[in-house]
Amino acid sequence: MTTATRDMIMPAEWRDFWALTKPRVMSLVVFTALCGLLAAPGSIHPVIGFTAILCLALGAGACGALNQWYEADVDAKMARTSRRPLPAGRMDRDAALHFGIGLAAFSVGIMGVAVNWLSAGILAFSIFFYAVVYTIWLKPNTPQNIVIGGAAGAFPPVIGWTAVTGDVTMLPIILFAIIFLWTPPHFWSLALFMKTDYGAAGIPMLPNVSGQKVTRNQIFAYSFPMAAAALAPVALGQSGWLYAACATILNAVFLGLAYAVWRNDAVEASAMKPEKRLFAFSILYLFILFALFAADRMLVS
Amino acid sequence: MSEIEQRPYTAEETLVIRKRQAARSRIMGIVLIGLCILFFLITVAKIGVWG
Repeated sequence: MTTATRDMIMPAEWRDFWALTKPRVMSLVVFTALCGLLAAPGSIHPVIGFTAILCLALGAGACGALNQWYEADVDAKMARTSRRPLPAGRMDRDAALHFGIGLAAFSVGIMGVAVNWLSAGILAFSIFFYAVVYTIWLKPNTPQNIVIGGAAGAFPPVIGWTAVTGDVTMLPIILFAIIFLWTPPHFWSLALFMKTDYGAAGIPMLPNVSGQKVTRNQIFAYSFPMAAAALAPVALGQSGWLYAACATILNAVFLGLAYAVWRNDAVEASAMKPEKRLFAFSILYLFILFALFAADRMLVS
Repeated sequence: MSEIEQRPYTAEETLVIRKRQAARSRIMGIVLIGLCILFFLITVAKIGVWG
């Protein structure tokens, strides 16, 4: 009989579980869902509304935990993600999996019982879409990963809306389309100046597979349908002048920054200021656009 | 047949583990109390006691 010794695994800190939920991503999910909830016609009991947003946040946390569980080895290869709890060795991998599955089941169950089962169904599908379709299937296999995978991040405002109305109409689909079409320019601008990081991890992001020129063309091309989707509520007469004016200005700035990216031919990350500007502005764009949409709808109603 | 033996914790490690367990227990306690309050409020909202 041979014997060997191994180090005991230290129990993870609660902060590591918190980090597993990707709190910054969660904040954007909560915000867009809240805007969908506030923009929806009708009313919802404040406690039920709070529960819906809480379940969405927990569902987003579950996605983050399951994503980090599956990608622990990949995260270890990228400077941006190497300090996360799993690649840094601060947490047992099974604990992350159980935490993610537990959060997912809990959030969907409570959403169904306390809010409605349509919202719970969409939440369950979005968790499945992010954890399985995007993380396991698309991300390691195709440069179109974030185009199709973007759908997972586009569900929260729809869920916020259905929490109030119990059905899906044209406006929540437009909110879905805005985030869906916003995702490629947002992530590809990041992928351009993080190209080496993604390359080292073996993730087939568009700049690594098709080159920087194609990626810049795609960023510029996707910006137009995204801008059109942002103005669709105006065209359908579902928003007022406040949203129309501000969305036009935001679109103009976004298209201007996307044009600067398209014109840029820098190869080194240090010379990619237009890409960094577009990435930073894209986050602000989505926050302001959704806040305005919700505020405008509340003013109109 | 091979067998993996786990190295026993040192005194310092035991102290760190106890601290982490205590912190996690506190957080779990807060979460459970929060859930009790939330479920009570959901029940009240669902049966419409306060309109």
